[in-house]
Amino acid sequence: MKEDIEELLRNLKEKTWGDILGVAVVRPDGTVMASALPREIGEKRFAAMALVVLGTANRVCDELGAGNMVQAIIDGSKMKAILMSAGEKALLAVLASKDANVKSALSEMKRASTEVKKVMAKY
Amino acid sequence: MKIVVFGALNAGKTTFLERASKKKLSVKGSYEGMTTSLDFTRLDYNGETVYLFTTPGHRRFDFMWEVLANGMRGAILLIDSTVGITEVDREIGGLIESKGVPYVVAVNKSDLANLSLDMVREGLGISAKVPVIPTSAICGNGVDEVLHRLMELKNERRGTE
Ligand SMILES: Nc1nc2c(ncn2[C@@H]2O[C@H](COP(=O)(O)OP(=O)(O)OP(=O)(O)O)[C@@H](O)[C@H]2O)c(=O)[nH]1
Ligand SMILES: [Mg+2]
Repeated sequence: MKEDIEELLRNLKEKTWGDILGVAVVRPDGTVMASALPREIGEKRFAAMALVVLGTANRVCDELGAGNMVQAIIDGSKMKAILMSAGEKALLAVLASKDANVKSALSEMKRASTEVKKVMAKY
Repeated sequence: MKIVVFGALNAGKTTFLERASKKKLSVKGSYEGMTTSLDFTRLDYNGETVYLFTTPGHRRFDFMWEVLANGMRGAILLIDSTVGITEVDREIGGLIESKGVPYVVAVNKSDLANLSLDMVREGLGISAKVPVIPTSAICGNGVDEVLHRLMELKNERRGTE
């Protein structure tokens, strides 16, 4: 399963022409299932932080009655982080360059998250 | 006013929060019982609104301790009496001390084990001024007392400022 997901992540990075610098699939307990991240990013830390942000964003949506959370985007002056859930058992966390085309990154991420869900369902 | 419940993995922080607020949390930031973001509730204490947060206990999320400590006016350190004082407890104790806010140590799961309060004090290396109170978040024993003592400490401090 790890291999299938790693393959998926490589595809995602290739399709976005350098906009996406790194990706990780994170389990609901905050551990890493698979990742393709730049060397300088600590994957454990990134995964745990992604889960906390997404969990908290979920909470905010709930508290405000904002409906289902679709994704969380953190806009840094040097990089972006885009987070979305990929079914009940995983979340997809992406690091993108500061000038990345968010719209196309999001649509590729949605596709990838559906694939992740499918892979997970097989096991 | 913001109060944060700290403690090691599985010490009973989330249960404590539910007991203190006397309601089940509608949404918990958790997965299979482990808190992975935070829990939050609002309660009224003698007309004062208290915002009560819990931190995740797992080391993986230790960056959240500092994040949640930001702006807190008081803290509760929950000890798991079935485990005793560990390195994590000492580290969290040090973090709370460094913030200079009033805090109370709750020796939780007192229904299961009988941990000596002096040993807790010694293990954490805390001053005699810090209240150490046995609690059971499951049965409810001591929970109100912890809140009460914390609010007292806070008001004393306010008086001397
Ligand atoms: N017997 C007993 N069990 C307790 C008590 N407090 C909590 N528990 C149990 O201990 C387990 C962990 O409780 P939680 O409240 O989820 O602990 P936590 O500190 O929030 O855990 P993390 O958020 O993952 O760090 C649960 O099964 C609770 O029912 C207590 O006072 N007595
Ligand atoms: Mg908890």
